[in-house]
Amino acid sequence: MSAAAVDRAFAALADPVRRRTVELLRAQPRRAGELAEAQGLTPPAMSRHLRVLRTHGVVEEEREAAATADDARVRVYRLRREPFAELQSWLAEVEAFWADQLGAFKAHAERKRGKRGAQ
Amino acid sequence: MSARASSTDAITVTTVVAVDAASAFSIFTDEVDLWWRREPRYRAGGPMRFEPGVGGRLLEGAADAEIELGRVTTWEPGRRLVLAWTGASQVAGARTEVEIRFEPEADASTRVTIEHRGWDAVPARHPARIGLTAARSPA
Repeated sequence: MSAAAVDRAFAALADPVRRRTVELLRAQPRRAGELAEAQGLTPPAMSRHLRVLRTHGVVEEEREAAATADDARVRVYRLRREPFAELQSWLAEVEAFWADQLGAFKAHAERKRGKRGAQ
Repeated sequence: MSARASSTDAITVTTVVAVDAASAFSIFTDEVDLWWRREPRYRAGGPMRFEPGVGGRLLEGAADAEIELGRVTTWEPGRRLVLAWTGASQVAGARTEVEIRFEPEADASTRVTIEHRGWDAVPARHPARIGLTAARSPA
């Protein structure tokens, strides 16, 4: 995934509604109507957010299967995997940084205590 | 030591240290220069220090000045420390936050937890991100 694509994903996530939408989609793909209802949004507002998420490569839509073949407007939204793999890999760097620091702190604090002979 | 990255907004790392919470807090702050790792990926090389209290800074010595890595927004000795985090990139607007919690455990030991949060609001190419990644990659 290119750096520009990661940029786009982050830009799309800089909004609480869109972050909440992503959280809802983590569990399972959902219809736009469900997403709107869960967040108390009007369909047009939800649609606007979904459009941003889609054009930024965060979600993709697919037609719901047979049951709704008559209604082309019913679509299911799902998370795309790629942006999240990239985000998680970046956060893993931050995590490694702090895990290293915390390990160094623990070693120092316990070495110091040992030298004092306290128990 | 355990770690977790369950969302894209925050990371949390935690460990248990065999000193009491008051000592853990004071060692964490007073002796930051002694424990903060010295490899280039962790610091530019200069001494580090905390200015105690709300409004104080975590400073790292550079060639001819000190740079601010974070500013204290919560200072509760023996319990909790929160920093508005700038990091080594020195670019304003990143607005991430680092919270360090000290919680008493059995046998006068302390669970120390570091949570670095607020990343969702930081653009991917923001130097706050690039800085850390770049600083870590050469070593």
